[in-house]
Amino acid sequence: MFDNLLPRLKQVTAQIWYKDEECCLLCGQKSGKAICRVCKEKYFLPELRRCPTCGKIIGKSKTHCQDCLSGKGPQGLQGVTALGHYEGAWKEFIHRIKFKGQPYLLLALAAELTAWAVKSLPPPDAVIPVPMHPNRLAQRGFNQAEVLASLLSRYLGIPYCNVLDRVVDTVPQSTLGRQARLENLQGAFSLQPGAKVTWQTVWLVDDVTTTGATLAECAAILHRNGVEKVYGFCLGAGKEG
Amino acid sequence: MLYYVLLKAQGEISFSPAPEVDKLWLGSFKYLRPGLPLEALKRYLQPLSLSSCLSEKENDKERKIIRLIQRGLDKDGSVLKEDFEWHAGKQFIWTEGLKHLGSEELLQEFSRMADGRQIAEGEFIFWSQKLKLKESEFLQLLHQEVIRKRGEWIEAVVREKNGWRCRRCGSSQVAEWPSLYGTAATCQGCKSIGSLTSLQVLFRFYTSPASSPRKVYLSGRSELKPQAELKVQAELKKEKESKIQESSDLGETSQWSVDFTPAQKEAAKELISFFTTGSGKEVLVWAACGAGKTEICFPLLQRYLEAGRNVLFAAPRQDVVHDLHPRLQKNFPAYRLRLLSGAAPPNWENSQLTVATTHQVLRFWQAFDLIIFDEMDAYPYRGNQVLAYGLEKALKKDGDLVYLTATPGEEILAKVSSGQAGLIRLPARHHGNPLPVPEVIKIRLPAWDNLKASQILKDKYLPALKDLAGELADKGPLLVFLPTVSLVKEWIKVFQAVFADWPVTGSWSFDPERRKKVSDFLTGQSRIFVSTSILERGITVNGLQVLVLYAQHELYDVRSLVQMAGRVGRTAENPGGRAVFVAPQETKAMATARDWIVEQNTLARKGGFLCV
Repeated sequence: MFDNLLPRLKQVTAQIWYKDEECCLLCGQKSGKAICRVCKEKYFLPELRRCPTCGKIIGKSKTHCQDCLSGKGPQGLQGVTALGHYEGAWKEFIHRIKFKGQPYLLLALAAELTAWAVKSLPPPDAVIPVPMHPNRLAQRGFNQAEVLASLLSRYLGIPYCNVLDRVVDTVPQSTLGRQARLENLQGAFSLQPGAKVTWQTVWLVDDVTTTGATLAECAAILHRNGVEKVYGFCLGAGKEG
Repeated sequence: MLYYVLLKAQGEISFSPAPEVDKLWLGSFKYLRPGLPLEALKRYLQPLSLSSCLSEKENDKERKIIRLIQRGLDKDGSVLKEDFEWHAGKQFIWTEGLKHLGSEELLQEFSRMADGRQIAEGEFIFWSQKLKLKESEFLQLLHQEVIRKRGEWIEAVVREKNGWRCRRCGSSQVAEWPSLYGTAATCQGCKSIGSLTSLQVLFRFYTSPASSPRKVYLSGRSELKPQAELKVQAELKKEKESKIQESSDLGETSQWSVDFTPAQKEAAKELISFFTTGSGKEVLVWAACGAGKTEICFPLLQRYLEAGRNVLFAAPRQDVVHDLHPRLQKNFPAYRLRLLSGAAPPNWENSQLTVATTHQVLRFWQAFDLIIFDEMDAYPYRGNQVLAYGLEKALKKDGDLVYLTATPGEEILAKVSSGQAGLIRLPARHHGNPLPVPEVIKIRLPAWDNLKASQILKDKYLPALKDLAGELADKGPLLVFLPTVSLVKEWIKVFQAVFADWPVTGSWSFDPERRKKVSDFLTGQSRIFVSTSILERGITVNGLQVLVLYAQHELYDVRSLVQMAGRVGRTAENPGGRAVFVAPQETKAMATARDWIVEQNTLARKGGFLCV
């Protein structure tokens, strides 16, 4: 018995005594922070703007992306922001959360996420996640948008309100082209039966935005039910140019 | 993935991810919707004994199952809102897709690929693509194999009394998170080969001799006809014993790509005899550094392959595995060789001979008859319970295990002392010269904390060290070992300043230019190379001299010191050379390292393996 006890005791003592140096969640290098400076610069691009209509990352001197300027963007959102460029290690990280059963990784980014949301969007009355169809939710066991929304809610003290339903099990947006994405979602969402909408401004939260179609479809339902301003918040978005 | 409770006509209960396949194979039944993760279902319905189930009325039984599931979900804190309902199995419609899953050709291809494997749920998509099936069809194919008792569904991570346990790697280190079904857990032990959660499953496909396409050679190396194969497999144990006993002498060794030295011949013979005489199931081959321990396994390996057995050559590090692969390919050209490592493209083929990193071994279950485990004391295997578990599970229950190392750890030495494992020594190098015995030179170098090159250059002991390094570097390329990355960086500057006319460089594990710098050193483009322990194994440089600075550092244990000293004198052109440990005092580790090396030389001399 003591043969097993001693190594365990050593391990526990070591854990109390030393704190493991934190490694960057994206590149794995020792950094002392959840995301190292190099990865922040590479994927979060804080100096660049976000297209307020669809969330795409755009140049410093631009106000909107090319698609939204030419009228192809989604309608109905008062602003959208995304923390980082959905590419490389950041895309891989989002996939770990979504497809590889590691939603808990978001906790390490709480400070980063809340700081970016507060900096980019006006204060809301509620945080609302984009819903997942029950079939997909049953398979995956969690909705990454709910995890993200509840994290923002908890850290910022804003009410979390899960009021939307996904009533059609649509084909994943990632498998479709631009036009098909916009059409794919028509009638896919609804307000939950008996849900009361009392807020003027909300943050609508999803993991990734590309065309902004999902956010826009949900925003339309919220607007119809009395919400004045809907702002989108996502982990990742595309980048122009 | 979700599983449904099936209630068969006889009252028997089972779990299925694809009830339509059960219907096809087993006839009518009822199934419960919605589905749940297998781990939860099994746990919730554990109190349901088969006998009580058989004796109860159907309606009572159905209600009891729903009650147990709901109670379990409540206890776990699930937020699932759906109601549970029993549905009749006859509602299923046979799809065209399902029919072709019974094709012998497809089943054989799958058997060939999956033999002895554990397939994680996240990998299903790659397998279905490889077999040109939809993911849902692949799932049906797997479940069909479960019904045919050729495989089983395993809950990937299970809840236990005091936590969780991963059923792929045995680890209890998990990250918990709230899911639709209550608290879920993701295993942290084996996430490097793809994470597993408690909501997921593993599909374990049994090694099936009858479905295996392995060539089985018997006496005279004639290939058996397929119908005879089953009989041969059934008699394999008996066959192996008689076969290996018949040829327990080493026979011809000229077929191998290297000439065997007398010491290698002796060890290879001992190795065969160990298993043929039934001396045990595990043996440690303790070799001198550079003695050619890998090659001595070739004759044993040949015998297992000829008997149709599956052999795995495993090593903890990718570089060792990639070095082994061409050597095995050259020596066993008649056999298909499978290479599995994180750096190699995925290999779907089955083969009798596999070379893999210890991480990849976690993908197998009782698949190998013989595992030869090279460099067993190297990182990341040393002290890693997960990898040890994987190796144990990949070996068949009656399989044999050979450990190869120049520096055995305490655990395997204890097994040898207690008689659990045998011991074979290979004490001499191929050139027949003794191993250079390391010297200890007492120099008190400046303390390593926050040490800067500028401080070292002012240190009063630097001239003595300069003379020593210069003397060594005059004899051949000099490899300087330092215990930490920060020390390597500073000492590179020091050597560059002191030996300004010589090419001096160095590297460490996460140096982006590591590969190029090491390659340059190996091809003679650096006179002095400063390094962490990344070069303590697996390199041979003609005429190399070794200097270990701060040899008293706690990172340098006996094994490290023996390996570092073992870089010297490996080639026939330059079988000598010096290995010098620099420290204020000789430590116990240094003394033991020297004793180990002296002991190897003594054994080699006693065996008559030294030519000088």
